[in-house]
Amino acid sequence: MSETEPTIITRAQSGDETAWETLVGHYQEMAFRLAYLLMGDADEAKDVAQEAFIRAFRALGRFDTTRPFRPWLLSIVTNLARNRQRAMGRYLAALRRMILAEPETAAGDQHETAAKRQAHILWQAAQKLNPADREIVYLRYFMELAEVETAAILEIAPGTVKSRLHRALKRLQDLVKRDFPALREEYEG
Amino acid sequence: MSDQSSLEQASPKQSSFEQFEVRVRQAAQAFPYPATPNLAAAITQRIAAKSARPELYRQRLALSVACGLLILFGAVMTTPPARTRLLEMLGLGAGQTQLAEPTPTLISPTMTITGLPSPTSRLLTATPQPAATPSSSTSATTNISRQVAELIVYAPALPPQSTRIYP
Repeated sequence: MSETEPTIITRAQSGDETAWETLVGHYQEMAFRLAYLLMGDADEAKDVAQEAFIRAFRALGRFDTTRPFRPWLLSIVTNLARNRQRAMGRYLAALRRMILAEPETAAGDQHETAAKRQAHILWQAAQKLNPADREIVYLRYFMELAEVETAAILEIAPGTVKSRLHRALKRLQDLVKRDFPALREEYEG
Repeated sequence: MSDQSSLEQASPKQSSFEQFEVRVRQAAQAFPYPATPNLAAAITQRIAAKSARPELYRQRLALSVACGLLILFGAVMTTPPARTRLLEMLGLGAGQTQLAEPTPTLISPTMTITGLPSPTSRLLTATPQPAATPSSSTSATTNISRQVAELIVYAPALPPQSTRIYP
């Protein structure tokens, strides 16, 4: 994006399709990745990301251009994924997570690195956390977002991000110790 | 802030926690995401489809309302009382016959000391009748004796006297 983000958003708000496509192109990877972390399925993630962009497009007229676009878009993604999981049902979602134990990229990839495997096991462990803990772990560690941005996405105070993250990490550590011996060995060894 | 200060205080347990956090951070960076699909084309298509939808939606709504009204009209026309009511409302002409009970008149004479009914002792209890019930109107009574008196009976005249002699 050679132009500044507010300029592009303003153009998109006035109906410039090219400006909107620029925004989509710039943020689609991030939106898709967050949706994938939350949903655990590429097709579902694609659907959630698309829906999030459509909703963002509809609400673009009300968007304050002085605010950053990314947290706003990612908050839509998070809410949509949350609603979809709720609609799907807790038990069904758990069942699906169990079925989707292997990452989709692992299929056919014989040379998966140890780091990737470890990351996948960590993701599986995080999937067992409650939704609030899971979201904060994904946003801070997987998506590498700043505390302020995480706070904006989750619509909580930055101080709350810190305390909630600490609690979530503690629970994740207990979970790894209890249910993920492979990861525990990696971390302790 | 309290979390930060608590993390700064080095104890074996907390350092293990901090170590865990570092490991998590490092591992998460290597997460194998699937390839991101190109969403732009699909999004543009869906937005175009959704903006074209209101027209379709309006047409479908109009059709369903029309069907609903047709079914309702059919149902009304098959039910005689409802059909009569509707035709009456529309002013298309509908005859209605209402039956009413004759007004009961109860005369309860209260005897006075003198043994004669007092003028105010005649209690009339009457059920008020609906105004628009011509068939049950009893306001016009017939004085039968008067009618009989005015009846003229035309008797046939006597046959003329015959002069003819039959054998």
